[in-house]
Amino acid sequence: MSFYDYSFLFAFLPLILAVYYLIPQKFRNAWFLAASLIFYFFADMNFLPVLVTAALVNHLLGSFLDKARRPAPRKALLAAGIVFNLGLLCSFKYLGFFAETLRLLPPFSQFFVSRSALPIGISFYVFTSMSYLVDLYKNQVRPANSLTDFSAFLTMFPHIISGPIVRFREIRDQFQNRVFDLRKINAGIALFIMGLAKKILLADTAGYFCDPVFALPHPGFFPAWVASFLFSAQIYFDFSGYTDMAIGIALLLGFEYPQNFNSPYKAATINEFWQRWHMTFYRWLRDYLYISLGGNRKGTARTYFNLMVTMLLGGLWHGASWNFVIWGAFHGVLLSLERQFGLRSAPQGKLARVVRTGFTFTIFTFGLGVFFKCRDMAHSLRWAKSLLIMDGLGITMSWELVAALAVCMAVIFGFKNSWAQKNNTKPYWIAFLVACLVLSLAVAYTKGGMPFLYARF
Amino acid sequence: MSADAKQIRFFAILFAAWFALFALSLNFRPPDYRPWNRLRRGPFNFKPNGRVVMKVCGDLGWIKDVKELQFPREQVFTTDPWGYRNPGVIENPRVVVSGDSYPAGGGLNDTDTLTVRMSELMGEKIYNFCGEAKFAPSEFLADPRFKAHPPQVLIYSPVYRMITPFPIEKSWRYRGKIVYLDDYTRLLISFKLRLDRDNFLAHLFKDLASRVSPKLIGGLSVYVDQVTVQGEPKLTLSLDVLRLTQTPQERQLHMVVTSLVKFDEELKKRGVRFIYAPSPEPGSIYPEFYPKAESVRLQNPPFIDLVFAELDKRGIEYIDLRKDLIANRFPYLYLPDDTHWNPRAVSIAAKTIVDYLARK
Repeated sequence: MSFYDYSFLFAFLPLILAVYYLIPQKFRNAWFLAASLIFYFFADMNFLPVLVTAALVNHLLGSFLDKARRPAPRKALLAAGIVFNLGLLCSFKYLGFFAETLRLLPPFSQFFVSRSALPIGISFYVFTSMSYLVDLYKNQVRPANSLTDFSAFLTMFPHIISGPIVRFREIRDQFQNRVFDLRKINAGIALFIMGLAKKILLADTAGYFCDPVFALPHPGFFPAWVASFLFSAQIYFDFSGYTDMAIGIALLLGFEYPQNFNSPYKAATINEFWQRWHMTFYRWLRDYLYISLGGNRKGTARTYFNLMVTMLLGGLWHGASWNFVIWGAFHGVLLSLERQFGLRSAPQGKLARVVRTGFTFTIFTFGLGVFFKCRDMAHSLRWAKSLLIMDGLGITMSWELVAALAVCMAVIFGFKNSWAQKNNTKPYWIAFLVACLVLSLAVAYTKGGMPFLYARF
Repeated sequence: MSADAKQIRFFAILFAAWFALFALSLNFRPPDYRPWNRLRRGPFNFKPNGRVVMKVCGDLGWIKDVKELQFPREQVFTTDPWGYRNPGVIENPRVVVSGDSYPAGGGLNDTDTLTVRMSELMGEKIYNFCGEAKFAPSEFLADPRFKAHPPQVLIYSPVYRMITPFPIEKSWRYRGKIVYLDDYTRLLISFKLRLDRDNFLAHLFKDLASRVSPKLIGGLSVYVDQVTVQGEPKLTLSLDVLRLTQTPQERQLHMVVTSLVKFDEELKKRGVRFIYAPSPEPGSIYPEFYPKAESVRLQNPPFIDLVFAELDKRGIEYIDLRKDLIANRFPYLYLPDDTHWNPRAVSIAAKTIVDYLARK
C-alpha cells in the first residue's frame, strides 16, 4: 500500500485519522500501533513476524538496560542488542552478498547462500532500534513507558518503509503529550501534497525519460549526462517526496519528525551536501558510527580512516552490492579531499558559490549515475565511459529529454523547498496545492506510479 | 483575516478538494447514472442450450467507462447442450480446440469464432471446447464424451498471458463450463492485482479499490493503456499485465513446459494428436505502440520463444500464430475497446492452423 494508492488515501488514512481523533487520548498510541501493523501487513505480510520480534526484543533489552546499574552488564546488554540488530540486518540483507563475494576466492568457490527476500523497511527499523539502545546506554533518553509505546514508535507507519530515521529521544515526549493543532495538520496536508507532486509529477517523469537512456548499451556523452542529471532529479524528488509525505502524515497524527532534506543540490561542498541530504541518516552515521570510532579526536590518519569507514558502510546500507560500496567510497574520498585541502566550508563570494555548487552537483551526479543507478560493474564502466567522452558524443538526443531536465532543474534551483513552504497559507499557495493534488492523483490513477526508489533499501 | 481564520480556510479548502476527488471517483454522473448498471454486470446466467442476443461494448471499454472509447455492438452468444460455445450440436468431432476466451470468441459474434472459421475452411465441424486456460486440459481429460470417443486432434490455444503451469487432473469434476467475457473482465482485474502483491488480503482490499479507482476523473485505469494505431485510439491491457516484462523464471518456464509434456503424454495414451497454438496478444504484435518506459523492459527473447524452443527439444507440435498476424498487422487486428482479437485476426489464425493441419 503506497501513500498515494487509492486505498490508502481514500480508505485507510481517513479511517485511521477519524478513529484516532474520536477515541480518548490514552488509547491513541495503541490505535496507532494497530494501524501501523495493519499497514505493514498489507505491505509485507510475510515479514510482519520479523518486525514484531524486533520490537519485542529491543523493548526487552531496553528495559533491562535501564534497570542494570553496573557498567559490565550494561555493556553486555548493549552488545547483545547491537549483535541482534546487525544480525537481523545481515541475515536478510547481506548474507547472500557476502557469500557471493566469498565465492570469488578459490577455496570457497562452492560456497552458496541464496539471497533472501528483504523485509520492507528493515534497514530503517534496525537503525532506529540501535539508536534507541545506544541512547539508553549513554543515558541520553528514558526508556519507553510501555511495550505499546515502543512498538508504536518502531513500527510507525509513516516512516517504516523509507524513513526518515527518527530517534526515540526526538519524539519520546510526543508519545505522552500530543494535542490537536490545526496548524500542524495544515502543515501535514501541505507537506503531503508537495511530496505527492514531487513523486508523481516530477520523479516519475524524470524516471520515464532517463530509464530508456540508461538501458542503452552505448548512450554517448550528451545523452548520458542529461540522463544522469535527470536521475539525480528523480532520486531527489522521489526520496524527498516520500519523506515529505511521511512527515506530513505524522503531522496529521500529531507527531513532529525532524527535517530530512534541505535543498541538498544547492550545497556548495560535498560536506555541506551531506548535511542537507537524507539528514537523519547522515546524523545517524555521524553520531553512532563516526563519533563512536573516534571521529576527528584521534589524529589525522585516524580521522580519514573513520571517514572512509563511515561512508563505505553508509554506501553498503543502501544495498548489498559492490556498486553501493564503491559509491560510499567515492563520497569518502571526496569528503577526505575537501578536508585535506581546506575546502569544507562554502566560499563567500556569490559567483564562487554558484561555481562550487555546480561542481558539487555535477560530481554527485557522476557518482550517482555510475555507481548508484547502474546495476553492476560492467554497466557502471560503460556508463562512466560515456560520461567521460570515451564513447562518442551520442546521436540520439531528444528535446523531450532536455525539456524534462530543464523543468526539474528549474524546480530544484528556482524555488524554496517544501519544508520552508509548509506553513504557507496564502490563497495562491492553496490553489497551487489543490492543482498539485488533482493533477498528481489523475496521473497516478491513470498511468500508475513507479515504486519508491528508497523502499528497496 | 486572523491567523486562525487563515488556518481554517486552508483546511476547509484542502479537505473539500480531497472530498470532491473522492466523490468524483465514485463516478456519479447524474444524467445517465443507472445504479442497476453498476450492480448488474451483465447476463451471467449462461446455461447449456442458451442463446442471448445483447448489445455489448468491449471488456476494456466496460472497465474504463469512458464513453468516447466504448464501441457498442450486437453480439449473439450461443451455447450447446454441454454449455460450450457452439452454435448447434456437434457429435464426435475429429478436431477439438481448447483454450480460453480468445479461441472461444470473447468479444465476438457466434459467426466469428476460431472454430467456426476453421470449420468453414475445413468443411467439417470443429468443436469449441474453451474454458479457463489453466483448467481446460483437465476438463478435456475428464470429459466423458472425449473418453468414449477421443478426437484425432486437440489444439490447445491459451492466450499468451495465460500461459502458466496447469494441473493434469483426469478426475476433474465435469462442469458444463462456459466462457463469458465478463468472467474474464474480473479475471483481468485480479490478474493485475496478483502481479502487484503476493498477499491474498491485499488482493481483496485492492480489488475493492480497483473497482472504484479506474473511474477516478474518467481516467484510464492503471492496467489499461491507450495506444494510437494508424491515428485511431485503441484500448489494450498494459504490457505489465500482458506479462511481457516478467522474467522466464518468474513465469515458471520449466513448470509450463512440464505441464505441456505431461498433457501430451496423457493425450498420446488415448491416441490424440496434440498441437499447441497459443493466441498472441497485441503486446506481441504491436510492441512499439506502447509507452516508451514499458517497451524498454520488454523481454528479449520473448517468453513464448523460449517455450517454443523447449517444445522443439521435446518433439511437441506447435504453431506460431504470430508470424502470419505480424505479416498482416494492418489494419489493426484487435477489437478497439477489448482485450480480444477481431474477426480479421481470427480468420488469419484459422487459416494458419488449417494450413498447418493440411501440410502435416
